[in-house]
Amino acid sequence: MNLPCAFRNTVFALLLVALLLNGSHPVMAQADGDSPWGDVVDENGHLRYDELIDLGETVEDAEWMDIELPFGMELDLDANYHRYQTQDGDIVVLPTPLTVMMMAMNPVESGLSDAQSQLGLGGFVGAEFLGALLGDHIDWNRLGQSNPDYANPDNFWNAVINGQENVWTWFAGLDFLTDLALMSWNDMDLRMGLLLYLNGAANCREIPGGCSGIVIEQLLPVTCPAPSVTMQQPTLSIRKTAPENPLVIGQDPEKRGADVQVSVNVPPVIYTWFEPVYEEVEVCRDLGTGEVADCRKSNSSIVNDGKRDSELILVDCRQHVEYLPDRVTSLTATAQLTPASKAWILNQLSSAYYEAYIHRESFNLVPGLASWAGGCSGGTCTASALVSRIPFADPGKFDLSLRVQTAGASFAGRQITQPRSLSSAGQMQVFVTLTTLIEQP
Amino acid sequence: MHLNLKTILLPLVILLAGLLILTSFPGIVGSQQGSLTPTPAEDDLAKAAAIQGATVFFTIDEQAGKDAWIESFCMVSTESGCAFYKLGLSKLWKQFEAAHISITPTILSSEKVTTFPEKQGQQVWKLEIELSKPLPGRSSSKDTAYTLVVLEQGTWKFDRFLTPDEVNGLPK
Repeated sequence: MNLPCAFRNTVFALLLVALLLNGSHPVMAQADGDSPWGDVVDENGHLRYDELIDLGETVEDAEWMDIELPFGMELDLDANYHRYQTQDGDIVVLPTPLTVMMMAMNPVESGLSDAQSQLGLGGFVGAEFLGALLGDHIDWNRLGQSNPDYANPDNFWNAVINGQENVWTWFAGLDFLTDLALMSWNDMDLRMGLLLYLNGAANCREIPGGCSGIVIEQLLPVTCPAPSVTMQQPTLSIRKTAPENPLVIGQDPEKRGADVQVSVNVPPVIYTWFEPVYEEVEVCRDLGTGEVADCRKSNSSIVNDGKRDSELILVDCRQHVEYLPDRVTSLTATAQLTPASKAWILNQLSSAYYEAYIHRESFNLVPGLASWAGGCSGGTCTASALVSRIPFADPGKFDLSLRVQTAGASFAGRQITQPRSLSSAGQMQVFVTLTTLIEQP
Repeated sequence: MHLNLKTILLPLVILLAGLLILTSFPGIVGSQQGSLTPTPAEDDLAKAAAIQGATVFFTIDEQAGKDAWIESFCMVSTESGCAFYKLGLSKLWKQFEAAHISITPTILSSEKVTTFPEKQGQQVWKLEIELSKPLPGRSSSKDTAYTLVVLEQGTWKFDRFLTPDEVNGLPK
C-alpha cells in the first residue's frame, strides 16, 4: 500500500506495541489525555472493546506481501487484518504476525514508514514490537560487530522501520518466516500489533484492508445528538449433524454418508438517529430596509424598533432506533480432508490395507451438493443449508470451511455500512472399521 | 475400488523423486540423523531434502491437479513450509492451469551454501534447476534456486525457497 501525499497529511497512522495474546490481556499502551489512543485503550492499557465497532477479519491482495520464487514466479500472499472502528471514525488494525513481518520487510510500500513518521515517537513502540516478534531470530553478535549502535536493539529496529537497514541481512536462521505462517492461521489468537488510522473510515480506500465493513455514516454535527451505529458480531456455524459416527461409504451397506449443517445469523445493524422537532414561534426581529416597525425587540425598548415575524426553534429531539438488515448475498461451504489424515491413509493405512488410497479429499458442499436459503426478519438476517448424505469415502478428519458475504446495511436509500466478508471453520471425523486377525492360543 | 490418474501419479512422483535422490547420493543410506553438528552423511540427507522439495515443487501436472500438487509438496516439506506455501499456491496454480502446462524438473547440480551456527538444524542449498519447458511468460527453462532445509523431528525436510533479499543477506 502506497499512501498518497494528501492522505499522509491528513491521516495519522500510529503503531502501538501490544502483546495481545488474547482479548483479556492488557496491551502495552498508555492512553494519556490528548492521545488518540484514548478512544482505543483505557488507562490500564486494555482495549475498549465496548466502545469499538468490531469490523471483523479482512484480507487484501497486497503486492508487498508477494514472495519471490525461482523462475520469476511469485507466491501471492494476502495481507490479513482484524479491524475495529471508533465512534470518531478512526480505524484500528490488528495484522497477523506474518502480515506485520512483511510490513517490516517492506516499510515504505506497506505504509509502516509513514505511520512511524506521523507518530513522531522516533519509532520506539514499533521497534519494541518488532523486537518481540523477531528478536530471537537476529544474529545480534554479528550485528553488534557491524554497527555498535545496534547494541541497543531499538536502534536497529528503528532503522528497519525507516527503511535504512535490511533486516534480511541479519537473521541468525531463516525458518522463522514459515513459522509465522503457522502463527497466522487463527484469527485474533496472535495478533500482536495495533495500527491506528485517524479518519480511517473517511479514507478507507487508503488504509490496510480497504473499505470492507467500514461504517460509512458520517456523524455530522447537528443540533440534536449525532447518530450512532452499533454492530453485533454475526455467528457462523458449520458442523456435522448426523450420523453420530459417520462411516466411510465403502464399508456402509446403506451408503449413508454424513450430513453437514451450515447456519449464519447476522444481527441487525442498530442505527440510532434523532429527528429534530421544531415549533413555530412569534419573534420581534431586526428591521429590514424599508420595513415599518411594529414590535419592541426588548423590554428596554420604549418605541417599536423591530418587525413581527415567526421562526422555527428546536423544541425536541425525537430518537429513532432502526434495526437494519445486513443480508447474506453469497455463501460457500467446503469439506477438505486434513493433510494428517491423508498422510495416515497413504502411509499407515496403505501399509496394512494394500488398496487404501485417497478416494475424494475435497467436497464443494454449498454450492455443489446443496443450495443455501436465507432471508431477513426484524433486522436479523439468516442463511442456512443442510447438506445431506455427503458420500465421504475416506476415513479421517475433514476441515469444514464456511465463507459468507453480506450486502451491508442501508437506510433511507443511503448505505450505512459496507459489505462484510465473514468466515468460520469446523472439523468432523469420518470413521473406518479396521479388522485385525488374532491368533488364539 | 477404482483407480484414477491422480491416485497413481501422486505417490509415483514422490517415489521417483526419492529413488532419484537415493541413487544419486548413496551416502544418504545409513546416515546418522539428529546430530547437532553436521556430518557429511547428514549433509547428504539435507541435500536430499532440498532436491526432493524442489523436484516436487516444480513437478507441475495439470491432469493430477492443484490439490495433488499441494499434497505431494506437503508430504516432503516441513509443517510450517506446507502452511506457508498453502497460503499462496492456489493463486500460482491458476497460472499453470490457464497455460495448460505440465512440467518436470531436473536438478543439474547442488551445492551447500551455508549453515547457521546460532540456529542448528538449518542449511541453505543452492540448486541449478532445468525445467522440461519454460514456465508461462518465461523464455529460459534454467534457474538457480536457494533452498532452506530444516531438521524437523530428526528428519531433514524442505522448508522454502529463499528470496533474493535473503540470499544477498546470507553470511559469506
